[in-house]
Amino acid sequence: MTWLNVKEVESALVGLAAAHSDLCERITLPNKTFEKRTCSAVRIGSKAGVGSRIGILFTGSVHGCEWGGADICVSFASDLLEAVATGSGLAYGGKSFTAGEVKAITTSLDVFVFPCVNPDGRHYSQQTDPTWRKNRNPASSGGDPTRIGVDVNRNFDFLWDFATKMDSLAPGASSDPKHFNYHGTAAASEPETRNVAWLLDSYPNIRWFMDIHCHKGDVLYSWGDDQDQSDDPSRSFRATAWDGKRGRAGDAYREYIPAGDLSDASAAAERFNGALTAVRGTEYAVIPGFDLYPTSGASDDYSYSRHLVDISKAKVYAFTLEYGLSSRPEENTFQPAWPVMEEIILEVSSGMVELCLAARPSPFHWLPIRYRRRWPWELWGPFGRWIWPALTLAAVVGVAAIRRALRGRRG
Amino acid sequence: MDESQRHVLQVLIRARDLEALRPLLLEGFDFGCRLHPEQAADGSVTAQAYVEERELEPLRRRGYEVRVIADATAAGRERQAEVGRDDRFEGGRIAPRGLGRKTGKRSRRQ
Repeated sequence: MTWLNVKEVESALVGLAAAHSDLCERITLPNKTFEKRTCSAVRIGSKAGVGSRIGILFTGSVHGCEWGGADICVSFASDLLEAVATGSGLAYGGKSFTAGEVKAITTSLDVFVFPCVNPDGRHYSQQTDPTWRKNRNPASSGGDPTRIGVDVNRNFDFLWDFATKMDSLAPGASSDPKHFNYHGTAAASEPETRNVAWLLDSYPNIRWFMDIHCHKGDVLYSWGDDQDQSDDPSRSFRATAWDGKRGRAGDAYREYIPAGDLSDASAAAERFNGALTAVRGTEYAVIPGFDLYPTSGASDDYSYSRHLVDISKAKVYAFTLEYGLSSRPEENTFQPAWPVMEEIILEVSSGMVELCLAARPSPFHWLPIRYRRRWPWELWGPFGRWIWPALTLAAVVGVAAIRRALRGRRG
Repeated sequence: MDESQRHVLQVLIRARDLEALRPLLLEGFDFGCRLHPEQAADGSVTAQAYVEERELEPLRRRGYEVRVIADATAAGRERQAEVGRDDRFEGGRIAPRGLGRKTGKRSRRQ
């Protein structure tokens, strides 16, 4: 195998859905790209109970020049399906997963894989300019080819209006179409952005999200717009009082994330990294997305912020992966030599399998998601996350007590 | 100039401190997905960036120390030769195989 072209990414998904129809469903995304390409994702998981299980979404190749994201996603999806179909476990270098673990992923989760979010950018990068990052939308170019394209990962509806929301010296994106991080004409103006948002909207069971980029060697968790803090909920991206003050390190503004979420997110990211390290000793940095400089309009912050903007939406733990270690010259590039990329695919796939295992529901998460969505635990205050487990326990104890009492009466 | 004719270099840019690096960010220099500069004990910062060849000298004239670490365009053109030419999966008639090793197989799926 060598790098997949955009046609092959689509064919691969068609092939997986055809070969594993019992476990894999191809999803056609509704928004065509500027160059009229239709994108697909796949959902991997048992047909029984679709939508009632926790979902995890992986996206790749949001940036055209970061080819490996799509290849990682296709290899990962193929591995899962083949292993389940043959009753196998999976091994990536020094890391192994048992057949039981792999099967448990497909019975307890819906795994969504959207390998190539930005096929126009990928095609242009693979055929013309290898360093091309944005999509190929010419709407803001005014006919100047150097001004074509929008950075899809600055186009999401999270602090998109950086001119208002962010510190002017730390915008996290650009409003100049010539720049590599041009954020577009409006939040979610781009079909590629809307396709990712559509998946999150259409499958509200998605609770985990990882967007695969390169290259640095980082597993990034929330937030990316500013430093994290868990003390003051009023310092939040929703608070207009802090507009214009976000994005600088070491000042009064830091983005609020509940301590529990921070701990859950960093623990899951560590698990990803642990499984990646076990393959051949590579160690990525597990850090928040913000590190001295911010991002605005990025997919990870958008995904995690959705439940804070609209409480009817599910909380999505969101991560950005920057694969490829910058300290290894052969990996410190958008497109490593293919044998190097194969090593990266193996270790990232190992991390992805582990993240799926981390995402599996706890024993108390059997309640249908539609009920949990209607009354998200955040509504119930600081102990809200224990409401359902406590009610479940109370019901079990109550029924047992009633049965004991009835038996005693009969006796 | 047509984007297809860009000649992009991967460089390390060293600035005296974080604030000195900030103007480059605002001017749209490509620092990749996330700018993660490394800070030295003397406060100077080094960050990786992608710049066009014609931007090198102007950057140096402004006082930045710029070291070329790779020719991103040339390297990318080599990789372009490795991209699939047709459709190895024949429109979905052939399913892809993952790179992971399948262990303890019970049976082969037909």
